[in-house]
Amino acid sequence: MSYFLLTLPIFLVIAFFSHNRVDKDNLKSFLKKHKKEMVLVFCLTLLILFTYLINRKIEYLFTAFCVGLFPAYIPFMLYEIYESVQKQKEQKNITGLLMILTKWSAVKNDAVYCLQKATKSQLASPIAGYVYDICLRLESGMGVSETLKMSEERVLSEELRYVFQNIRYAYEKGGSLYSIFKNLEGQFFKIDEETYKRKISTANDIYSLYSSVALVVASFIIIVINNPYSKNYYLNSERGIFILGLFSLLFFLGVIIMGRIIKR
Amino acid sequence: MAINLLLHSLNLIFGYLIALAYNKTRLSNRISSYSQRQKNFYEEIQGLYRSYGTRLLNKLKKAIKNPVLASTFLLIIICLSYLFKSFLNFLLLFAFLIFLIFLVKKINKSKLEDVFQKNAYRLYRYLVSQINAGVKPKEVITNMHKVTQDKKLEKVLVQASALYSVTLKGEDYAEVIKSNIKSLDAIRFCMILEEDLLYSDNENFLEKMEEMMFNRYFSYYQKKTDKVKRDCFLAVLVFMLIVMLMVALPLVNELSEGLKNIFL
Repeated sequence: MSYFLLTLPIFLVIAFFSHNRVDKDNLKSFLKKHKKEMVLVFCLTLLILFTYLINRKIEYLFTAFCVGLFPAYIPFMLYEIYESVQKQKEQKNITGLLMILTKWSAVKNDAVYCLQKATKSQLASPIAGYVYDICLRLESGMGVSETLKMSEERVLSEELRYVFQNIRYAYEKGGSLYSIFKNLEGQFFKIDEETYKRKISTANDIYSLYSSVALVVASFIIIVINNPYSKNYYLNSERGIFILGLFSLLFFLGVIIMGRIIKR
Repeated sequence: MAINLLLHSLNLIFGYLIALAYNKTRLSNRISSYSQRQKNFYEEIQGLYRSYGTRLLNKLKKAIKNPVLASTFLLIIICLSYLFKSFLNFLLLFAFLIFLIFLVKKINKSKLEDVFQKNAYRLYRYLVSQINAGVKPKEVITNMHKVTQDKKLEKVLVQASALYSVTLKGEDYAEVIKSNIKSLDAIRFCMILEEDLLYSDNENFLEKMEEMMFNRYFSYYQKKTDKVKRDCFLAVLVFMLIVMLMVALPLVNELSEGLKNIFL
């Protein structure tokens, strides 16, 4: 049964691939698009594997499942942290991009001109890459709307997507670019200010959170592993094993809350 | 050895069958959803006005009229009553399930209201920039769903646009939004669409509305900072609870055993 459960995610991946007719040419883009699903499948496989291994040792399915939840969740958590770091990088530099676009839109009411001028100024890494890609596509002959649409799909941050969307609408239908950028600049200045305030005011809370996680791990090592009576209670008695499962579940819950905080 | 080999091959066959079934159901779902959409397009538009209760009653009436469906429904009730030992138990469970469904629906609705509040300033920005550029209000309204990135809100706006493109009445568009999102902001937005936008081009007023909505979004953003602090406290509380219980439980157990030894 457990062997079957282990192979099930693999079969689901095969089915998913065959359904979407993925071949070698579009495999890279497909994997890029469905990164999250792939990580989830990997986590599911890990969960089944850990549950199976722990269950073999303690012979208590509930606890085995609860203990297996945390290590299986780690890849997904890392993926989410990586994504949120990228998003934050994008969000930090939106105001800079808007400042440059506002400056150049006052000179000429042309979205392409503004974007080309923005590539020459020193923008930070992810946004500079996006703007450079847009200009490169435009120079190679692609339409402005299509290029901006492609960039909208590529970016992670909702705010940056909103900025690109506004540039696209302004290009498609006309209208004053300067007023749009000026308005957006004011809005993003406000958001930046609040983000900075949040970072300062929640710094202590986040440090206390990390130290409490370290405390849980340390107390587990000292109490459960090093103390013979507690070790016997938690690992050999049925009630102890059940309580250990509950602790693991609570710890997992705490880690999920922690992940949510880091994401913000 | 032979049994193991047989089990492995059975597992592979079973896994392959599940993968095949998964693909087939996805494909058939897609086909049926396409044909269903084509068939019931006008019916859906008419049905938008009906309340959830009336729609549910109509479905039940249809189900009772169909002898196969009615007998299946009865059979399920009998089976479940047998499974839950008595009819009363089953009724209680059924009532609890209905309560859960209504609860989930209510939470979803309140979420949609929140999403609308967060996205309102973007909708107003879209209206302002498009009208400033000289696009006809009718065209602006039918493309409004492109602005939002939230799928639920997009669905509501698509429904409203579909109805509007059939009837060409601003009231119909407003009615769909009002019936799905019951918040003051949504009502005000609909009022502007009905009274102002379709009959006059009052851009200044729309700009003011956008500013107001952004301020609301900003206060929502500020509220998030408090939420981060609260979540931090909650996570630390969970971790501390684990540490305390982990230390206390073996001690309590040892104490109770000692007391037993003294008094026995």
